[in-house]
Amino acid sequence: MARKSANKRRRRKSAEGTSMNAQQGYKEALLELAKQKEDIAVLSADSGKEFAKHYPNRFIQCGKAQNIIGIAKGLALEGKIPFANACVTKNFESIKESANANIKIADMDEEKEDTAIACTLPITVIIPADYHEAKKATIAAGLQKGMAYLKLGKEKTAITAEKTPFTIGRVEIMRAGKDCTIIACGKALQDALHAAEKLSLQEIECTVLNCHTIKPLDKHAIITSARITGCIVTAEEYTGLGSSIAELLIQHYPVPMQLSTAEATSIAKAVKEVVLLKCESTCPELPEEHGKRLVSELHPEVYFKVHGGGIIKSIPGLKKALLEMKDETFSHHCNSHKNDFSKWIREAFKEPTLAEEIEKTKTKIGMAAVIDRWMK
Amino acid sequence: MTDHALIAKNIRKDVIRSIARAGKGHTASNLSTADIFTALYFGTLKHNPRAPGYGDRVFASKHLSPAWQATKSQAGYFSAKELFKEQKELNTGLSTAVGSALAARMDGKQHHTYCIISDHELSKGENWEAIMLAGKYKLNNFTLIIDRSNIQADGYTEEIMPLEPLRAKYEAFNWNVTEVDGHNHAHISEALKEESTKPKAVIAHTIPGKGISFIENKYEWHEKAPTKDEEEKALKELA
Repeated sequence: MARKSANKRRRRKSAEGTSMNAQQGYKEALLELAKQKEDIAVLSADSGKEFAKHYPNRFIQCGKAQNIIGIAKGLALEGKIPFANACVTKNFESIKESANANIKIADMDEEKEDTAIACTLPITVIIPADYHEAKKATIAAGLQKGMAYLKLGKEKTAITAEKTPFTIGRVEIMRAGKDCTIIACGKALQDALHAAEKLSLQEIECTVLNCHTIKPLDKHAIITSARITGCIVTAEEYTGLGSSIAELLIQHYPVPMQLSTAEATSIAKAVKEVVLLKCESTCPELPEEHGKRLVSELHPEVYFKVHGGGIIKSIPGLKKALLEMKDETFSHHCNSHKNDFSKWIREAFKEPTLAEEIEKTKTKIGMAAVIDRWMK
Repeated sequence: MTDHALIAKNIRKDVIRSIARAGKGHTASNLSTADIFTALYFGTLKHNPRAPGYGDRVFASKHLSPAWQATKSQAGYFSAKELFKEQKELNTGLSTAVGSALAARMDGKQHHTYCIISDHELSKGENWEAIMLAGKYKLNNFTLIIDRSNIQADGYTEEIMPLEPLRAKYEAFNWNVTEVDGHNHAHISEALKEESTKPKAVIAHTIPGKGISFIENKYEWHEKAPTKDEEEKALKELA
């Protein structure tokens, strides 16, 4: 309960913070950066009036020119730190040829393919979630060497706060839970948090990672989280995050995984599916690994008799049965008047804590997850 | 033979050798630009082979690197041995050259930026964007030398994508234009020295494959490397 309300409080607080978007964060950061470093220059294909007003000598207006990255490369050769408006789908050739130059690219287009294509190049790729994160990402990109690519959206989401830490290539843990890891970036981060909150009401606790840097990935943190929660869902409005993480996990720590779009309902659905897959895959291994009392079979007269046929002999057996159980059967045993499973665990196994947790849970997957957690 | 003529001859020899060795390259264009590179590096350019990165900046198209590298070898940037060793990091592209000149302008640096390209590259839109931008910012610290040899891989530029009136095009983009004989070192140097308040285009009229009788004026040699026999024959002509 305490954690839930803390999560809620955090969201409310950051939502009040701003009504500005990532693109505005980028523009403000440029002014701050320019104050710190005199090598900052801005090249704009038609969107940089604010910077031009303050630093006319460090601003180059290219109109709609497609050669903006070529120009930026020339500036970088002379020791400047150029920030240029460009888009991977339009400027791929020049971006590829300049991939080792100290150029920062701000992509304000809405093309979804850009981010995945950018990931094919040896450059840093960042998808900031909101105004504050875009601001921090821009400054961090300006201070590190090499090409960085920022995908900046128009949505006025407000997820992070001014004080939220930000390091390129490091995930931020937005929420912790043991059942599943949701990895999100950009606007999808908000949807991921909404989904996690909804799932929490159904006793599925999710870890939510803010993976703003999709290249290079925070490999250690992602693999660790896959290890702890045993399954992964990625959520993004663009492309590249899901495929990059799938590429990482398949090589280092394969777990059930799904790729989702940026809608809370699709994310929640994906989470339920991977949690189920995880439970199914861990079920048969449990008896050997865990304490005798938990897994031991009962005397036949205290077997759980399933409505409509079938018996359950042990707690792992219950978990397995729950995952396969029809909804009608489940609601026969578990409804607003009673919870047969909780009662059975309390009486037959003398496990009041587990019984109590089961009592609070209202869904099949939720119960299976509770059992899973308890057995670990 | 003057010093410049000798240097240009040596560059042509190295061009033939390096393209023959690589088995690919733009033979005709590298031969036609040998005199432009000579006039630039041994006349106008403020540079110091022992301190590269200081002084004037030079950019050239990637396909001109055999002639460019041969010139730098003649100028003392590296030995003839090193010339054939490995691919060197080059500053290429008209857009990048213009970006470099813009950066110099921002910092009030006094050096000049030169860029050498082939005429057929002007069928690429990106180059006209760079030309437009240089005109807009009145980059008088920038000079573009165009090797006007009239050929490209499939034939003559005027048939493939007509560039004329080329001079009028540059003037319309707010550049100063000088036309010279691209094989006359004195004329090229003179054109490069002219003061200008705008970016400067030097249209250097050249003969593709200049210096080797069986390559001269043949567009087939645009993207063709000499065979062993052809290499020997060409080097004999240059001896």
